[in-house]
Amino acid sequence: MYCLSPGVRARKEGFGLLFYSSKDAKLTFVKSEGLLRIDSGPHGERLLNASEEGGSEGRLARLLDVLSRKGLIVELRSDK
Amino acid sequence: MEACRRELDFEESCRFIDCLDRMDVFQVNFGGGEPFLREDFLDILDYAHGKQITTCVSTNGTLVDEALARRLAGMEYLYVQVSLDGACADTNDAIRGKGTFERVISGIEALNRHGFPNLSINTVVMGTNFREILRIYDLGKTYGAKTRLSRFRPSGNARRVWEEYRLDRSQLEELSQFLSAHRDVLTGDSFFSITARDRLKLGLNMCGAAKLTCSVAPDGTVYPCAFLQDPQFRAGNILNESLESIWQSAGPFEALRNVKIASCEECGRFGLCHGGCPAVAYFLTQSLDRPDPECLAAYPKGSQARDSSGGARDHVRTV
Repeated sequence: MYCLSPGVRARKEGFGLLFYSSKDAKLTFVKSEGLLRIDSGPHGERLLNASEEGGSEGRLARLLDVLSRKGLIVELRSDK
Repeated sequence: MEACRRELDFEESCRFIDCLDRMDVFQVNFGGGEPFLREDFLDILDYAHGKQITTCVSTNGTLVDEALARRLAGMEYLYVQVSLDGACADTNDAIRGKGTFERVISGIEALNRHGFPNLSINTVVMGTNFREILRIYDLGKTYGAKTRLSRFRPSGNARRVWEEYRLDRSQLEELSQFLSAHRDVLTGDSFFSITARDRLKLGLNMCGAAKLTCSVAPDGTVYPCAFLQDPQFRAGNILNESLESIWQSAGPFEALRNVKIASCEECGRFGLCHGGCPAVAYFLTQSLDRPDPECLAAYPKGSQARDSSGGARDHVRTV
């Protein structure tokens, strides 16, 4: 599971998702093709979940990888 | 542009920020007048930052003393743009008032001493300071500040002195070349027709008014853009209606979203600027759906003419 990185906000737009980083005030436009949605977690954190509309798992994994490499999202690691 | 009769009070400002938070607004820019004149302004900034909304304050810099610089340096989500319209006192103070240059530099130095990280020097490029933009850029570097250059635009009070201060074609071309040569210089004109192709990825390639941004006056009146505040662009007031509702359905917003500059669509630069700045077009041609009159592709080459319609009358061009 992934959530937005600290200092990053995001919202749904017609083209997909729009990310904003407060570290450099830059916008990132992501044509997410309905693969992802943003939900609120139990502690107010913003989670990225696979959309019910579904899509290729490969495309979803690539998208998450790109967002992660750009520092816009971080993987949540569950405690064992 | 009319002076506002009243300003939102602190509670109204906070309720509005709550609304912005619900709408997932990322950043709020505060301008003026001079925002730091308002006594509760820092509390308003704190309230926005508490919602993780980034703020950017455009200030004349003259009120930034040690105490204010210290407080600002402690704000994580804050950017500050200090206005400087010349690289020396003579040029700057002719525009911004006697003694301003010295006070601005003093404010910048105070921000430096307290380690404020997100500082930029904001210059409106005019005929009078055009020759100093490199020195302004160097001055900014001295203080670890980014330089932000914007064209002089004919809105508000600037309409009265447009002909006196505007850039001519050769100056616009030089400004475009300067921006190409200095990729670290920010510009509100990154999507405009004076922008070179190599800056395309540094900013938006189109006007964001009513699509990504809007402007809210101190009394709560909403406009599509800070440069479009004539009465016909009043879209509503947040004291009477939610911004969400205004954003979704106000006529002036729809008008901006539907602007179609047919004469630009065949231009090879269309993907760079989508017709440029509707506000400049509006004030110089009284129409939103005309090309940006300062488009370098439309301005007749070699012309130094200060024709106030620019190239908008005959906007067929090749690049």
